[in-house]
Amino acid sequence: MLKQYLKIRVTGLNLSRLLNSLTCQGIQISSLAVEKGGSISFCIRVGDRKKLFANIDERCYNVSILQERSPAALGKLMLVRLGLIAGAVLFIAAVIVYSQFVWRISIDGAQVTGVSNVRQILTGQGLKEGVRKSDIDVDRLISALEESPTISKASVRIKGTGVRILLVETLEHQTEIDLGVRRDIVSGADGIVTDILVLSGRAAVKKGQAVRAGQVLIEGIIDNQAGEMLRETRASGRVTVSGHVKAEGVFFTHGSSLVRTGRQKSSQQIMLFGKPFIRAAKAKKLFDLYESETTMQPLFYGQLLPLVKAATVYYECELKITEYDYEERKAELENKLTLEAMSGGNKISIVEKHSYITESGGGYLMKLYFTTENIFE
Amino acid sequence: MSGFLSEIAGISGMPFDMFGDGFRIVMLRDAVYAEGIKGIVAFGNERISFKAGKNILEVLGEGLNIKMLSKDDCVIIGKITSVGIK
Repeated sequence: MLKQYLKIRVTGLNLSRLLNSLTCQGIQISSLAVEKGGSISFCIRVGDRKKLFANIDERCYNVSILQERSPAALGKLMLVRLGLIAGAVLFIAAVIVYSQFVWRISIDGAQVTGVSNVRQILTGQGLKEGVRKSDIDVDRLISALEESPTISKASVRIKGTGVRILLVETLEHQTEIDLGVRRDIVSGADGIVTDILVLSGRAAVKKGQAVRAGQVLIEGIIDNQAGEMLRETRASGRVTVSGHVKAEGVFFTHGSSLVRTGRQKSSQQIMLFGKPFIRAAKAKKLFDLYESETTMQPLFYGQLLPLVKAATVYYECELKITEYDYEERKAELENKLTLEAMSGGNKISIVEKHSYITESGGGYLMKLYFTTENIFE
Repeated sequence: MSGFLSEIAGISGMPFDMFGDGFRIVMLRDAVYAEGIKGIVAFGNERISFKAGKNILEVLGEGLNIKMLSKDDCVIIGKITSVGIK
């Protein structure tokens, strides 16, 4: 609450007596300060002015009003200074005019779309800094923003001289499924249908029916009760086909490998466009059994010409016969064949496996019979 | 006399310190609020004294100012070092 105060300075003797007398009359004194020269200054309410002067003996005290603190005092000052009134009126008019326009546009949530793209959309709809607020059509802006494929929801809020655009974006731009394109679910393996679940489309096989690889399991057709096709669709469902897979392979319990003896020879040559250009050092007579390693190194001026220095090292080797553990080799081949059998279908699981091993040509012939379940969806 | 006043205060439910010559001082970090004072005795930037009943309430400090003064109460602000009763 704004109150009117008078700031008064009093000079004289025995000021404490004066203060006591004033307070006894019900005058409230505030902001009392002792000044240099023995005078004091304090504030009283404007309503207590008459009481104050009635209690002060002018023969003993010098009283001066320093300031009149009130909103009315400000008004009086403004009346004296017409320039201040004109300035205040101009200021208020400027504020009113200024508040009719948009001066700030903030965009939140445009991580995927990008602020510049959103600004383009807004500019296209006539929203930019300096536009009158009354010319903004919020509904049109929202619909224009929501037309963008990456924006799922938009809100526009006008507050003061600012417009806040808040966007909710789609996390991932999903490709629309064209329901008009037909899609059938086809068996990828021979077998017997053990389970069928149709979510969309028409079942082309029954449970217990034998099917061949490539046979349609669920047709992408929607029909009526009379069996007439209404329209095509993308078939959706899950069909389990039980089948048998046979696999066989040979493993040996002995083998040979090359072991380096330590002797080596090297050969170098310059290659241009991948072909030998200059043979730097001819390899001498090679070893009977050897392994070789070649390293290619671009030459210093290789950036101008595709010149490469190829260095080949030949390592002398000797043959070594190695004996392998029977069980290890057997397990190795069995795993390999099982993995090969499982990699054929869509979603395949082996429910039963039988293996037979016979000696054959110095090695062992392994025959595996799998009972599988293929899931097509 | 004080016994009589205390009895009256007890009957009427009023606090005894505000009855008759009683006074109350609330001391804050940089301010002192005194209630029940009877007038200023002396004041300056380093010392302000009040009459409080038969006693003299003395506030010592630096840069003291009377923020508000009325018939019964007073607020003093400044760097307060001590408040004493004589």
